[in-house]
Amino acid sequence: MRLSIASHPARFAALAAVAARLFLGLALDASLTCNGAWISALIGGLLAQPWAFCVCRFKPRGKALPALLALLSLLDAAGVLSAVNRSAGYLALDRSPALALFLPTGIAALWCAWRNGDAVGYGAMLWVRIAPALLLVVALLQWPYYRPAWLCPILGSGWSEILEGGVRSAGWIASASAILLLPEEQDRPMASATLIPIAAGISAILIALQLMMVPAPLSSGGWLDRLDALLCNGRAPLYLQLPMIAFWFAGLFHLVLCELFAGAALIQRVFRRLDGKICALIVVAAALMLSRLEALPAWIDAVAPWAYPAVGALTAATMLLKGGRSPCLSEA
Amino acid sequence: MENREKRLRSQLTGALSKDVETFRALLNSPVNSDAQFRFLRLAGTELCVIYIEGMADDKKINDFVLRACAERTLPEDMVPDMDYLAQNVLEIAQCETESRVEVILGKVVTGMTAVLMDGCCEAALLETRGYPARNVNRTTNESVVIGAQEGFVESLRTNMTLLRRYVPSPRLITECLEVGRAVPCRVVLAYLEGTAKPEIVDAVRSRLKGIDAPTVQGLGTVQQLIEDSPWALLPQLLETERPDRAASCLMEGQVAILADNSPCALIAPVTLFHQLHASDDSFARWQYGSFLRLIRVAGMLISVFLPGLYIALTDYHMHLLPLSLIGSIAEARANVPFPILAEILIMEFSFYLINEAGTRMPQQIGSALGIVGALILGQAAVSASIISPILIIIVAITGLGNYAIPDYGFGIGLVICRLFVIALGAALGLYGVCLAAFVMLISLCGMRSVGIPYLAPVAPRRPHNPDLLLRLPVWLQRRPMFFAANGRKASR
Repeated sequence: MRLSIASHPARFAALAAVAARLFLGLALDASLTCNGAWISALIGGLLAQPWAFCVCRFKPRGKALPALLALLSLLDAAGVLSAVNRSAGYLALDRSPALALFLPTGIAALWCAWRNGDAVGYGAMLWVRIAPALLLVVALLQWPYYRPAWLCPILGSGWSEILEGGVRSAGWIASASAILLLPEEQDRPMASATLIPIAAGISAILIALQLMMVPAPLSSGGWLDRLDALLCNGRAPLYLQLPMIAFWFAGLFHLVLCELFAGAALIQRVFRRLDGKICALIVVAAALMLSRLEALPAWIDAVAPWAYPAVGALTAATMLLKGGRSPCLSEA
Repeated sequence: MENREKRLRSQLTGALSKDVETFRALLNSPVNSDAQFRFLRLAGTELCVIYIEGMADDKKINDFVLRACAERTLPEDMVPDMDYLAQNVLEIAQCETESRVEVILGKVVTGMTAVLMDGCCEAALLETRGYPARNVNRTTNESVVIGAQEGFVESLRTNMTLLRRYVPSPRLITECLEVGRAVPCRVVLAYLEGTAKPEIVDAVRSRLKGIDAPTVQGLGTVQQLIEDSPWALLPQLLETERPDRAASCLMEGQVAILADNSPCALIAPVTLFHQLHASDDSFARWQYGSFLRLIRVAGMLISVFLPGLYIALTDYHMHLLPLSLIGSIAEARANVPFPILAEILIMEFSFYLINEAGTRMPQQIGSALGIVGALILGQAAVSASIISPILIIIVAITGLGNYAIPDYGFGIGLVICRLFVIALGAALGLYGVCLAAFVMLISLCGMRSVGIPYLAPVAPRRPHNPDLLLRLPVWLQRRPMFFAANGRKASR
């Protein structure tokens, strides 16, 4: 089985994944940017856009870039799996063994990846259409609790942190949008590249909404504090959590599936003789094992600032040394 | 057996006695008492009329074959041949000549009559089918409040006529095929030329021709043999017993498959949205049609998710429920000895049991089932504190949601999905329900119907009429469906 995806569904998969990854990274994982997280998301989007255009338009040759992106996707997917696990544990299953929480998502992701890329992309396409409606419900429910004043000071911890957040964001974008490397033919490379800033914009709005729910000191607490603030809708009544929980889990599931699928398909690009189902199995198993490591958050944190410079440099080097595969269709 | 195969593959020899002997052997006559061989003479030439009693219309044979041959006088010097017989003697509208034994035999067992002539290497095949068949009647499973009421019957010929009545156009093509190696079944592929996409027609035709099963018992078997994902829970072809609905699908560019002895038609390709449509929608004004569709969609969602959500919320996330509701649930469950999962499974099983019993039970005692269901399950189970009253409400609403779905097979598929949601909801709470929904969504996204994505025109996006979940006014529905030949070519 060859893991593949057409360019149109790949765009939607990347859109859903990038928006979710930036939100997860900036609103929950990284507290350094504080109130300026939404600006970091926008900076990351702008930084990653030229890279996405190069990848979609010129299709760099060689196996080094797919291999690096596969590794980054794998690491990121493990991190997202860990976030799924912690979210499920926070909700009600805090006494369940970790494996019992990891395995269902892993098996589900494997099953979905075996349906191949178009199913992944069409699923994201539907999610992109359902999500605004769900978000509208969430926003309406928590409307009385938004405090725009809590967005201040806008620069949060300062410019240097915001810029570092931007570079980290660009790295997350590269791994979340690795799926853009997969289509054999790109019918609209510019559209694919434009969706990166759009996804970053969506993410910035979500982060800003989240920041308006809790004052800055609270948002800089631990991961679970921030998840609590997210799922409890700040100070909204508990029974209003349901739409937010559905929104949160659906976003995470799409993100983890997109990254695992991209990882598996890129591994197949590197080892061409491997069957797609085997690749998916290897990637899911590796992600499950990685996500159980205690050192994983530290690894992700250490890799994040260097991911985008490494990917960017490798893309440039690949294109200079080996050139690109030219027959991309002209801009429609 | 080998001898039989050899005879079957042979051609008529022209020696009447030898040819008749071949047919006697192949039809196991005289053990098969309904295989009839009637000899007669026409101007000195011996003829044999072969037919199956009951399958062929005796009156037609008597009046237009036997009497026609007996009463016809020929010039003295004339030796009649098969062409003369077919053109001047036999007074049957449809008549063809054939020399292959296998083909002649295949036609005879379906009710046609073969006339063999001594000295002639061809037989005349006459359309004399006249077996007993049910009259066109009201539909049983796809009732509508307004609109046409008649449904397909078991006779293929009648069904084709019904279809032609609703689509009186010379562009309506009805291709006849035979499927099944050992026992052939006549199948008709119907489509509107110029409206149905040739690629789709070719795909369906090649799948029908590619059926390699020894026997095909009607459209149910055909459906399983030609669908894209036989392991998927939901059907990828639409089964309808309404000729008006089949005709409407033909006019949208879909193809219909009819089969002998099947009182329904299979429609391909279909999407998830077709499974939620009913004939009423088109007959009613657009506001009513849209409203009814929204009810159906809500019914589908309730049917799949309500019990799973109930168990997830009450078992794991009580804090997400309003306080007054928690009090009611706790009070209702105070004396129930079972966990909620057991309660739900008992009720679901009982519900399916009543459902299945109601389908199989003779009509005369069917009313007893309502009493059993209402009394035993409703009242007695609550009085005995086996089930909480709230759960009965949940299961009843779930059942109603399921009954709102027009397609029977699709409804059963959703019931199985519901069990999946219940299992994950019971094991993992809301996380499990979300995971189940996600897996089902991706599975739906991966399904295809004759190559058309099952969730199109939403995912992937395709040009379409405003006639999916909502049915906007007819005057806005100008665009042909994306799978039609004249539909705008999908851009992606």
